[in-house]
Amino acid sequence: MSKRLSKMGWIVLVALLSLVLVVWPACGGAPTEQEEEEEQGIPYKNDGMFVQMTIGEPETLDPAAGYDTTSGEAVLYVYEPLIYYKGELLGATPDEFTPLLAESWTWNEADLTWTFKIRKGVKFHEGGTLTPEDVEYSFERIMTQDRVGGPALLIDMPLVGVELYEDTTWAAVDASVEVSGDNVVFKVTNIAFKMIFLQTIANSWGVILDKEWCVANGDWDGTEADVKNHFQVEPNYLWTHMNGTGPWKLNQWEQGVQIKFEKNANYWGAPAPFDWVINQLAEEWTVRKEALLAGDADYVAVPRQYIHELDGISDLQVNKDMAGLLVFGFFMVMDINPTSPYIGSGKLDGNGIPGNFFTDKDVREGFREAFDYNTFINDIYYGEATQVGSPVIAGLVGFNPDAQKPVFDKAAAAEHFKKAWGGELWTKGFKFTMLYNSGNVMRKAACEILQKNLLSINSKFQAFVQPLSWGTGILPLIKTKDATVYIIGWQADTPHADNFVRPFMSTAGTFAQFQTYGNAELDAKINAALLEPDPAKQVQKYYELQQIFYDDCPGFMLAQPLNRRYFTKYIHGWYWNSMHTGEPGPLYYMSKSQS
Amino acid sequence: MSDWRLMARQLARNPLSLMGIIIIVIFIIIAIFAPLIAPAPEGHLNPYMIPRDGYVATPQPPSQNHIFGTTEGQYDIFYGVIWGARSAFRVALVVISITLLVGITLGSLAGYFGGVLDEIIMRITDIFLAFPTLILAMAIVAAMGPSLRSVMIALTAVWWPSYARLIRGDILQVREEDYIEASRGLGASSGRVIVRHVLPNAIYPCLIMASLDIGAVVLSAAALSFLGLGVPEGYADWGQLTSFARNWMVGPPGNPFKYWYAVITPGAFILFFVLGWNLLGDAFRDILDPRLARR
Amino acid sequence: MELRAYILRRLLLLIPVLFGITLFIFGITMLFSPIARASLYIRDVRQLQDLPAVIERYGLDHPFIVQYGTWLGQVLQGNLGWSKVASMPVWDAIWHFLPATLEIAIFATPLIILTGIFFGTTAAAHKDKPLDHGTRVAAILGWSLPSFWLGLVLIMIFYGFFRGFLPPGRLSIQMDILVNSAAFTRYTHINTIDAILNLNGPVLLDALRHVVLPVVTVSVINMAFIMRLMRSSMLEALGKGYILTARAKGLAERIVVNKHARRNALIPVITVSGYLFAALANGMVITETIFRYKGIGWWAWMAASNLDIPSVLGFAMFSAFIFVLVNLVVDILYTRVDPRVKLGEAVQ
Repeated sequence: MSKRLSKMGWIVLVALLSLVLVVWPACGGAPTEQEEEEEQGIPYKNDGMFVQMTIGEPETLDPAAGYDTTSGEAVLYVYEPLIYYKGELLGATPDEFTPLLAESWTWNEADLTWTFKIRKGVKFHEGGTLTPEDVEYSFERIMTQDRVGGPALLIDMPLVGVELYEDTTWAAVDASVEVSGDNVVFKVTNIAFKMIFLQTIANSWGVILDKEWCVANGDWDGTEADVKNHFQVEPNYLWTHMNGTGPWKLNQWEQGVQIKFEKNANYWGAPAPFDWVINQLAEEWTVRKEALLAGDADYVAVPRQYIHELDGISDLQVNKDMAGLLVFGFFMVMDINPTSPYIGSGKLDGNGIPGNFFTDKDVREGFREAFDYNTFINDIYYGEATQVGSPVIAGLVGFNPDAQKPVFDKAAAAEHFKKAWGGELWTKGFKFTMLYNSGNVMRKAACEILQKNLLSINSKFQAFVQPLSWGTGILPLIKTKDATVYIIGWQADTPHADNFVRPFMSTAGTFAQFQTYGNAELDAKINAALLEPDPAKQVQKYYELQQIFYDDCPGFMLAQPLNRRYFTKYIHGWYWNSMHTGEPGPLYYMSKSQS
Repeated sequence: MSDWRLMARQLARNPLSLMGIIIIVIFIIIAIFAPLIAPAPEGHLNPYMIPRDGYVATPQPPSQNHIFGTTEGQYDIFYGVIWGARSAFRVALVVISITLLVGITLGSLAGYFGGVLDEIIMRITDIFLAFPTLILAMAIVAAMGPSLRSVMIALTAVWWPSYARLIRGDILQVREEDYIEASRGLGASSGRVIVRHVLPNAIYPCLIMASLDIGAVVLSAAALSFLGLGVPEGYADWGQLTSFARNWMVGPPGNPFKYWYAVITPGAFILFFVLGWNLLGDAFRDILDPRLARR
Repeated sequence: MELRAYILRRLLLLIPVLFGITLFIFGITMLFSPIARASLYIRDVRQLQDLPAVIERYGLDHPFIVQYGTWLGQVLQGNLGWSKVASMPVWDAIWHFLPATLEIAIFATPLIILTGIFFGTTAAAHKDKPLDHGTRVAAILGWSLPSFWLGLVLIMIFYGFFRGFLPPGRLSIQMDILVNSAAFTRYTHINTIDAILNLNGPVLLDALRHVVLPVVTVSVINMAFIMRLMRSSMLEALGKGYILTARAKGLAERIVVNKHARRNALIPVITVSGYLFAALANGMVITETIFRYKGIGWWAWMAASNLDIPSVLGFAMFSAFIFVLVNLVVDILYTRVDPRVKLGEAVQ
């Protein structure tokens, strides 16, 4: 008996000991050696190379196909558009652009045309020479290939007035961009597009391809007859091959691992400051962090939740409080599909909501006042975001800094709810489900904040929160109007207020149409604001639209995030431009050195 | 009856198996009394979702309100590991019991009757065995949404083939024995023969494997949660909790173990749960082996 | 049964398995409405207007049989489709990602087997003594460690604390540029093997430095299986009659264990080793992601998360092929090792 017990006791002792050995150093007892050590600096490595680690890779290298920022970033290392945003400016006037493949550009008000003089002596990486025909080809190509989910609609709108190639003709496309000697002439459909056109082409979808090279590699041959062979055909040769005029050329794309660019020795402008630009895919935050601190990466993507893990490291260069042209908010659908599984019983009986639940403005305003904006911004963004009252955000011409913003006020919300649906809502309550895309921590927190506050206002106000995958879950439900309340974000295509107002407020707007918000009168106001020639009056018109959005309350904005960028101290010359595609910034104007 | 009593006594005599039993009993108690040990705060709609105290991402160290601290997103770790015991048992028991049922039924039919039935069942088994687990789990979660039920279905689909094969192999051995011949000679129906004679002798390896697999099922469920294929975020599940710790493994330079509480605690619960069942399973095998040899 | 005929018969097994798996996967994807499946081609709410065109273009609303038939027709012509997540054809994607996984598997498999055999033998030889208990608990500890946990701790120590000694990734940047240049010939895309074939020492060293941590991570976790199996089969072997005879004859314990018991105990280990290699060859998502050692496991995971059906089907077929192949090899090996078992018999 005693022998067995002692054996048991022995075992238990060993187990306890091992537990202690595991837990004690974790309690912070062990790393005294590291605390005593001076903070190790970041070593200088990979001279002449810019190495970055991010969490996504390009979807495609074809400029006419890629809409995501990672693809756009890769395109802009290798290809060049006619013009680009100058420094920190956002292209509010024609001279706020830097000439790239265009030397100069002039506007003809009578013809509604932009004439670009194309630079001479520019060579493509594979040897071709830049000609105005290449420019015409590049634009006609993007419009006629019109890839599904691609950026063609941005070029289509100013040039042919519609969003899809199906809705226009080859003749219209052909006529919108023509070669004239050393120039290329673009005809826009409306004076409203004068600056919008310039802003649009200063991006990855406005870059110039080498027509001969494309044709030689099986792409569209430039004629009307061949259009149908390439319309919405994917993938194509340019998906994985690049031939541009830019300061770098593609060295290798190792899918899933990295993409490498090397210096173009024959660049027409000043030579690139880096011999190599290497973009490595590293989804694991810890690995990115360690790489940055070890000097193996000059820039890494730092998710917002972890910004304070990099506090107080002297060899890091931290840039913060940059306002991005991005906003997101809650949207309430006014005519939910009656068969939606997310509205409970489908009736105002305390076990669900009717499909037209959100048509009552008191309900919408109640929801708006039930959201705790400060907690959201402080907890999720560590305070680094600004609250906005409408889709027109800071950085856009027409932004009203004094516009009315929603306020978290549970008492006021309760008042609205008591009035809603003839007083029935307060006594009956409701049940429905909100959706968010799984994995998105920010949207989950926002839904839960709303849920918690609604519940505390009235215990019968039960909003459930459910995650679904974005692609197969939420997107289709938005289309079929099964979704009830959801969060959507919008990133600027162009830094123009119209680019934000239209999707949220016009009848055919991207979001508004799925909410069933918008009417003819409002549409007229939106168009009037866009077309207003007097800048001061235009600003007033946008102020008015912002107030309308607040008053109508089809949704409520949550925040406009402020961004941070982390580099090692060896990187110089960085500056912020909110329209710049891609994360690390204007690499061509940056440099790396030990001093 | 005396067989089981003998087995129980042998289990109790072995110190490691005793430790295993004690561990399992502790977990059972935790699971049953979870609402008392870690009560949900007022107005909390679903007790299986861990309550959050704020929305800040940074885990907070143990304090009076949160005795084990909070993990990323301010989920209470103590609540999570306690209710996680419930989730662990639910997943493990449901998966193992259905797996045993399906596997034993199909395996028995295949082993006993042989022929075409055997071929068909074995081909179906092959298909499931060759199926990559990840893809299956992904597809199920995508179709049904993330939930404990999706995890259970995915794991059951992947697990049953090995049991089918195991019992089939044992039955192939057992059915040639004399007493089976005798029983059939006496006119017993196939079903009766299978259930009363073949199975009781062939089932021990399955039971051993089942006890070992309980730990494996929980580990697999944790891995699925970790990959985002399991329970929804914030569900009280050990795998979820460990995945919350993923980006806090290494703290700021100079204090790399700063967030140890978010990392160690859920992992320790998984470890001890798995350890307990493994010790028990090993003990079963050590005890049942001589029994098998005695035949 | 003649060997060649046996192999042929077993390989023919591949066909119903492939049919079964691909039909199953297709069936699961059909659970999604055409709108949901079309949504995979877009990213933004703005593009929802494109959905009808997508449905028509890819025939997403055709009946199941038609869609499966179309896909099958393409496969039989050698076209496995385009992998959206890898931006290359599915066939190319398999060969693009496989080398990284194999590189880990090649080093991990022998390590796991050898350490498993060693510890299993030790545990069995000292049954019920502290060494046995300690080894078993340590193995269980290793097995229940979340793989990301071990991986990140190793990175923290060997990359963070030891200042970049064992970094993540497959090669350092300079070596990577060298390996992709004209100065280096690519044979297998497995860096260690290619380095040897190119007689390039620095690349070999660099590749080894990068493969150590993933291999250790994978090995620690999987070692428990082999250890446990070895232990129990050793115990069974040690209980056999001929061992008693050997001991009675006065043979040294060491010879009894190593020479007689172990050889017979190895048989089930061979079986499991085969499955182990197959499992490793299927990729280990978490390890590959953490160590930036992107292999086929990572690709399968991306494909599954993004419902990239051609990739999923391609991977499933690859997986099935490995499964059948490994089963075949193991069964043949079994007959070589255990003369009592004949080819074609039901094997445990």
